[in-house]
Amino acid sequence: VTIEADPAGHSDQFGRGPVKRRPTQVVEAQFAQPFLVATALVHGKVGIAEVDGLGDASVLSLSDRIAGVARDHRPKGSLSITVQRTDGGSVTVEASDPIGSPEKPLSNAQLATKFRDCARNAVQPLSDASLDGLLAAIGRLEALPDARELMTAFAG
Amino acid sequence: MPAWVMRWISTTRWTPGVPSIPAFPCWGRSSRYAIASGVSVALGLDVSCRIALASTLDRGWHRTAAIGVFGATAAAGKLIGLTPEQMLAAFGIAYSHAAGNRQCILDGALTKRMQAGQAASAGVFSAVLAQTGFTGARNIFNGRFGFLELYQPNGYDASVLLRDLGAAFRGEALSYKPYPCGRPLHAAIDAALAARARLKIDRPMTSSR
Repeated sequence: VTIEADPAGHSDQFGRGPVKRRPTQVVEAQFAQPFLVATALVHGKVGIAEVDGLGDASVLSLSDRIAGVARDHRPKGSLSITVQRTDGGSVTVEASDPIGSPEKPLSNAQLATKFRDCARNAVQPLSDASLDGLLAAIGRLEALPDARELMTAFAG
Repeated sequence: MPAWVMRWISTTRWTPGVPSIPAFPCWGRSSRYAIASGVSVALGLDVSCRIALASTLDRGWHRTAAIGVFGATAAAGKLIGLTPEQMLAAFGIAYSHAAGNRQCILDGALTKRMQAGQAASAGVFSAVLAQTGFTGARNIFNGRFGFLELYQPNGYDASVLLRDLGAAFRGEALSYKPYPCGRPLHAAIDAALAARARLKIDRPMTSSR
């Protein structure tokens, strides 16, 4: 796996020692590009459990082997990711504006997935049954008589 | 459930920072407040985003905290029904709390989260204190030692603060984070997931070594 970036972007991630490949705290992992790219490639999703997976051997093994390349001609902040497989298969993806913005909004399903992940990891986790009820209530927010139904559901 | 623990919140493309964390200070404290909270959060987000947009140069503040405290104050002040004079005092008190830097982010320290919670807490404190008649600085943004001159020297556009106030709500341009990590990393994650999909990998990858 190769991450090609502009010199400053490359230096921020690959010029700062092992912490970007093998973060030791979640707050480090949240800003560690090789670790997060490896996490995405290994698991196919990046949720709370995945970002918390500091000791995940498969992720760390891949993270260690990600090569960073600086390219002077690249616009600041741009990057591409190339995955070369041992069987010869290869693919390069040029990164673009990330999803989640007003121009690239998350789908309702993506928002619900995020909401469930947060709620399950809350200090007082909500049950799956509560979550179903809560999501249903949020879905008809405009029609709720007042917010107490939501607050009751939030209380689990 | 403090939002800053959830780590998966909204962000904005043009103003690095997470305005929504401190803007939710009172959400869920009491169902009595819940009906008002939608309006108060919209106000808090608008205030935070306007100050962030006016701060045109990145000086290393953790904007979530150093700017978010004003959004938290606006939200909390709206919730408890401050008069305009009390709201001004609340903003002045909030200015005394405005703090938070990004060195802790570079160093991967937990104070990054503390700063966000501190801003939310200070927002509530400022609103409640103002309601008792306590005073704060009045020329908070444009004063000689105001926020713009002191915190953003040679790096601000004060006209942004009030432009289209009440007509345009800057919080509407916020993004929702798809992944619970720093927004600047999201494009790389999108690309990695796309590469994985194109290679038709449909199970956890294992190391070849």
